[in-house]
Amino acid sequence: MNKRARAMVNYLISIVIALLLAFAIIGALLLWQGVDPVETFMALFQGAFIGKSNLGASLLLATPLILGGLGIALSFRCGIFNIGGEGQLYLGAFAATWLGVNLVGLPFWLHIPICFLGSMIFGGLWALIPGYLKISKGYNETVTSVLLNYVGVYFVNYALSSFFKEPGALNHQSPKIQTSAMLSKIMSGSELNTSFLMALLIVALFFLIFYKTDVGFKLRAVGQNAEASRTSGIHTRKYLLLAIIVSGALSGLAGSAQVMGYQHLMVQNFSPNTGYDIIAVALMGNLHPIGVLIAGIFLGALRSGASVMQIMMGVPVTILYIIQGVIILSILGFSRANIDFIGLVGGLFRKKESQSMAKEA
Amino acid sequence: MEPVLRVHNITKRFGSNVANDHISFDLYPGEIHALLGENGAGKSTLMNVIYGVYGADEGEIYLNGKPVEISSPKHAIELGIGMVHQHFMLIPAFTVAENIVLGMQKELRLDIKDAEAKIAAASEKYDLRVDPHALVSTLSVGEQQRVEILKVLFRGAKILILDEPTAVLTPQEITELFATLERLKKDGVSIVFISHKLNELMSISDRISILRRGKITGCIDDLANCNPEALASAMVGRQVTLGVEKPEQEAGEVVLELDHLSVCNEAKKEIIKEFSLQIRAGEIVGLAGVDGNGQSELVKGITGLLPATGGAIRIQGVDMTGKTPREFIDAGVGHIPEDRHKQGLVLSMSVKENLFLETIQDRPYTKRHLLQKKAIQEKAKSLQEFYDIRAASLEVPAGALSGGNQQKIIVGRILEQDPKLLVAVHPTRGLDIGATEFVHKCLLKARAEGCAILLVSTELDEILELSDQIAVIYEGECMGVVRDRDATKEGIGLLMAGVKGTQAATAS
Amino acid sequence: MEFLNIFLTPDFYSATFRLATPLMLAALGGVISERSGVLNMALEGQILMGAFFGYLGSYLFQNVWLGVLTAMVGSLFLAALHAFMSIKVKVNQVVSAVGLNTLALGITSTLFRFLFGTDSQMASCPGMANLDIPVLSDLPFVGPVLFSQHPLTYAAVVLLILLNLFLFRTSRGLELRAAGENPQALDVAGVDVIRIRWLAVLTTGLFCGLAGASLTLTGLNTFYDNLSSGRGFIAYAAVVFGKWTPVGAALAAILFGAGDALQLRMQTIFDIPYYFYMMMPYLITFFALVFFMGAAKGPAANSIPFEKDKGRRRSARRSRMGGN
Repeated sequence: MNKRARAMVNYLISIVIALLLAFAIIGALLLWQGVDPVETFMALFQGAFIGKSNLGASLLLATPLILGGLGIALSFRCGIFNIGGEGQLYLGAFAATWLGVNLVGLPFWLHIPICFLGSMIFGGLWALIPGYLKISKGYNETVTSVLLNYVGVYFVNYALSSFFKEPGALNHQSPKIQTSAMLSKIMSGSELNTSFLMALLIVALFFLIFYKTDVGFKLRAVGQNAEASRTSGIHTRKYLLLAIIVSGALSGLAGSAQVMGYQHLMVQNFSPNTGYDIIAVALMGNLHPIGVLIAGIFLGALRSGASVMQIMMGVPVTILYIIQGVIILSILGFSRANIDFIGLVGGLFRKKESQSMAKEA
Repeated sequence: MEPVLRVHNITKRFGSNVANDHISFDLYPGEIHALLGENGAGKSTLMNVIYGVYGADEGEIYLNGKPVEISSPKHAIELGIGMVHQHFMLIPAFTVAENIVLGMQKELRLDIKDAEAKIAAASEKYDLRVDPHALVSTLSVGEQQRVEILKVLFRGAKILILDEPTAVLTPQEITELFATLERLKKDGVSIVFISHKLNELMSISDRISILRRGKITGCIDDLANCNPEALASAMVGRQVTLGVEKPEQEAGEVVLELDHLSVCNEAKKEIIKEFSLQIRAGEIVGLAGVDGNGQSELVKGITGLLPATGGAIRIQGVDMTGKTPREFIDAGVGHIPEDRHKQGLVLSMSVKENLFLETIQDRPYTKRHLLQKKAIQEKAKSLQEFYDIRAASLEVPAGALSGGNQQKIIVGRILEQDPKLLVAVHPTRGLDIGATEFVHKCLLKARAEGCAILLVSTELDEILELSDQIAVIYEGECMGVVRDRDATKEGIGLLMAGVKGTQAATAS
Repeated sequence: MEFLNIFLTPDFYSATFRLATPLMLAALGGVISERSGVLNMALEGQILMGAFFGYLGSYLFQNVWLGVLTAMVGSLFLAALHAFMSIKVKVNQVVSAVGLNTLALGITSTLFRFLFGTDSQMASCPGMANLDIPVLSDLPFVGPVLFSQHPLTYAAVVLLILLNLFLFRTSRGLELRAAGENPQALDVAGVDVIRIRWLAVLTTGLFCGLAGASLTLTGLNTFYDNLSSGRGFIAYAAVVFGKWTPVGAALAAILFGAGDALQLRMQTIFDIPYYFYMMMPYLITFFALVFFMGAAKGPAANSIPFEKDKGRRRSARRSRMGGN
């Protein structure tokens, strides 16, 4: 087995272990609560995958996770720990909704791209603030981007309660967007729409650019060692700024896809915690576009399954946070410790070797 | 007489790699016993075993005839063994006194006044002058080394291990260090002196043990009847001729001209002050100086990594002031950076990718932004063969290679761009003799082809060997430029220590 | 005029200290951890754990002091996980903090639902009353501001003094600072770096437990989802803003507390939308960081895991998310 395949298998094993660990913890909690864990997990998986409408819902919820996860993967790869996805997502959705409501009489082929572009610009600029402060002044981007999350979300909530409030509505919510800004559905009996196809396209594009072009080569080099890249004549700042802007733009898309795809208007707190969920997606996907795609679909499915589970079993959806937390920590731990599972299993037959490997790991 | 320290049959393995293979070694009271060996020969491992950092897999250690099990550095210190590391173990943000008492205080209350008084007394006693109140970050390298030695003595060490102590010192500071060591020897301190510099070892040591590939290959008692060539051969395991063939050659046009160049570091402090220098085609100019006198900033100024804050840089007559690193590369400036891990390579990327860090966007490697797999593979293959880069495959990460092969990646990809000016910074630091020879050959070949070369090194021997002219840098200023044939070690040493005047350089 | 009056009432200053208490406790904790060389962006999760388990303990035992104890235990659990990940497994400390904060959110909100259901919301627990210090609390102005606070505010001040003495006047404090500046140097001096860092991170957990308790057990006496709502990040900003000194961090925390107190009072005076007031603490912290900070230098070895066996098989095998 060559090295790359071996690393891949090891990685998959580590994900399985992470998941088993997460479900074991949840299972124990459920047992303690007197809820049958097997039945609960059945409900979870049924809600996630069984039946066209459930599957459609899973892919629907996966879409923003894939888009945002790609953005996080890009920024983490470049050594920028953008935790500001939440704010970028809200502002992106806000921009798209505003354009979707207020531009009247445009054909859909013009209106939709304009809304998407608007969300990307808002998301990108919101990410540029911590990005610029980090790249030019060396300020810790994690703190600044988290603080800006709160500012962004409160701003959007304010907008929805005042100048952007649907007149006469009981809740704080925006008017409905024009039909020309709504995405078409692609699966009968579910809300799944073209934004999912767009996410697939962006995954492919990301893969192509990141691994097959000189721009991607330089992004990878800058992310792994900015100083060596600069010494080699790569315009480090330019690429880092590019990465953070694209990262924010993708979070913005993750927001607009939800509004334009099926919500069609914005309510306050319309997508809670998604900006943090995408970090779990990015890490679970090993910061690789294909990995992000799979992880996004998986977590989307969990989300959709969890709401079914909550209805059927009365188990709160907040267990998803526990699952995500455990997954982030275990995957980080496994990838850092670099455990060679294949070697461990192979070594069980030659006991001495396996011990020394475990020690090394 | 009984040895204070006896190491018997020590073996230490890391996985399948045997770092120390049945090593025996002894140290008598009041002796300076040198340990000579190339990088990776196992010197550091042996010392770390003695200092309790690693446990040995086999073998015993005896102190004053009694077997001991040294479990940790703390234990080693208690047993009277002290170590001065090559990279000083000091905390720049702390004062000298705080550094010295660190880890010594049992009681909770920190009485720094009392500690300072004791340190002042010890500094008097051993004649190691340092100010206990001073912040370490304000001290010169030589002073920091004194703090390190004092720190060890203050803990009551009777056995002193010095790891490459001269690497960062001027010739004058080396003389001073040696005087200190002689004094300590008279006080009954026994010293293990680790180095790869032959001449130095011969002047300070009582005995020399040679370590090669984890084994002791010889112990020389009779230093009077021994020459550097013989030592070098014993160290490398084959016949070596010290010194390189440097044919006489007429220098051509001026390639690099620094005209009163000033450069600030990242913290906006002016480090390089009005530095003027010319380098011609086919000429190697060595830049001598103690580490930290502005070499890094000067190099970054010449390669566009730091902007000039005053004066001008001209390359082949073109004013390059204020240009980007990319424009410097395009103007023909090649840069072998001082820290190959931080600046030279992206360790986690493959050997192949590392060969194209500067040139990836050029044809034929990239067309319309798409990487051309075949052209890249072919070029990489030919570079690997030509520069003898030994790697399991081109796909392995650069970090998996030995230091010598990593340096060959850098040297190869830089020379491949046919630079008009080559800035080589510590190009052989940490390399074994074979790889060093290879790099030296590459530099001389570039010289023969008419490349102008700035060689920055703290190894005075290397500079004297390769350079046509020698410039000396001290606190960011150019102290003078000396022709190779007029240069003496002492003269250069004075300039390195900041003593001005052209007389100094040529005085014998 | 009405606005300026805010600054003339003792009420404003008293509220400042009350609101600054959780920030101050968490920031002091952050100083300990970061001075020892472990980046601590997981303050948020630890405060949340403290807040929930404090509430839970006080509710179950019907005793606020046992609540304070359980708060510390709850947050200690997360701190131990943080120490394990950062010191033992040596993962990237920023990213693992994100995982820990998410985990804390999951644990607290899930347990809250399991134990208290979704409808029986306002289950109240015993809380602590303000403690008037005899004589001093009767002083005009200063009395109500400084000497009529709840016990955890006094604890914060006492801990500030103790921490300052510990860091700069004791040998153990010197060693802790050395662990954050140059752990290799400390190691060769024969001091156990790993042990110091573990103790430091765990102590941070205790401080954050107190911070959490000061959110739930001093008047609110209940819990709701994500109750800490970013205070951990503001406390972290206070650590940076205070240049990693206890006094600096405490002053920064008081400054941010004052911002919060001001915001609450301005709501009654100015007709500015409620959301902008909600936004204010985060904006103030953001601008404080951006405008007054300069390039702050923390402890030199902060966030760098300590590896005894340095230099052997490094970097290349290090995974993408590994060290910095």
